Amino acid sequence: MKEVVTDEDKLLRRVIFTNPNHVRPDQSVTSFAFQPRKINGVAEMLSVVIERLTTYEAGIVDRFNYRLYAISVRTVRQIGLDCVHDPLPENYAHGLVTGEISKARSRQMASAAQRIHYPD
Amino acid sequence: MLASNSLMLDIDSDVSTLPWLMDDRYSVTDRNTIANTTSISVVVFSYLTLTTEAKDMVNKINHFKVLKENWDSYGALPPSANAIDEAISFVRMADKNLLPFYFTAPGPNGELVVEFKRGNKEAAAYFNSDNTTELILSENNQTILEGSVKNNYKDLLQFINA
Repeated sequence: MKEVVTDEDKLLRRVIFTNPNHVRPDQSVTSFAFQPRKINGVAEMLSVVIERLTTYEAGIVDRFNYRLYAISVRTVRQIGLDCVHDPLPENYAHGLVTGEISKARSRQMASAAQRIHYPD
Repeated sequence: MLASNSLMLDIDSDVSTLPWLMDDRYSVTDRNTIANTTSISVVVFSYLTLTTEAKDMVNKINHFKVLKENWDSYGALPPSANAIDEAISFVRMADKNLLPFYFTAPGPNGELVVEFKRGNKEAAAYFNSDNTTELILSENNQTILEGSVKNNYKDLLQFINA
């Protein structure tokens, strides 16, 4: 069953911080942390998890190589994108950021993302 | 001490092969002239003019060559050889213009970014796997300009150095 994603929801994105590293020296993230893969020249939607449907432990998957960053759905919608719940068999909290995710929009999401201090 | 007729070349200390000598930036138009000549001395200087920051960038970019597919667990492609070469050439050029290097990283589609930061001003130069480039200038998280590196390099210089 799909849940309604509201403006008050927060989305979590796992960001690689070992080799290579998408976390910049000031702990902000580079735009690539919010840039989806392209298939046949068309950008896929961006995978996220919906914070209220998961735990940080489950969301980070690999705490040795990743850090969690959060962005509000309100912000995502303000920059012209949207978010939907997309439950997977192995991850009920899975969601997708939809719309045309240009590099400029990726940068806007990266700028707005807040570090979740888990596990440290 | 330089002999007369010596040909002085700038060479990066981290480059172990010489195919890029054909690059016209070094005013060498015929590689064979160098390879076959016996009448002139070729004095090779380490390219010590690169700043520490630029050398660090070049080293990091070179390390991206070892990345395999799915290096980010989201299905990312390895950085393309062309994107790596373009980014390194760009770093050398930007260093000569004293741009403030901040960060570099590979992207999910075989591209690379080289970022600059000065105060609240940020610039991101993207080198895509399809040989295109993109440049985004932003200040206080607001996008000021979107264009290409090739067409907007002067804008980058003016923006960062203003």
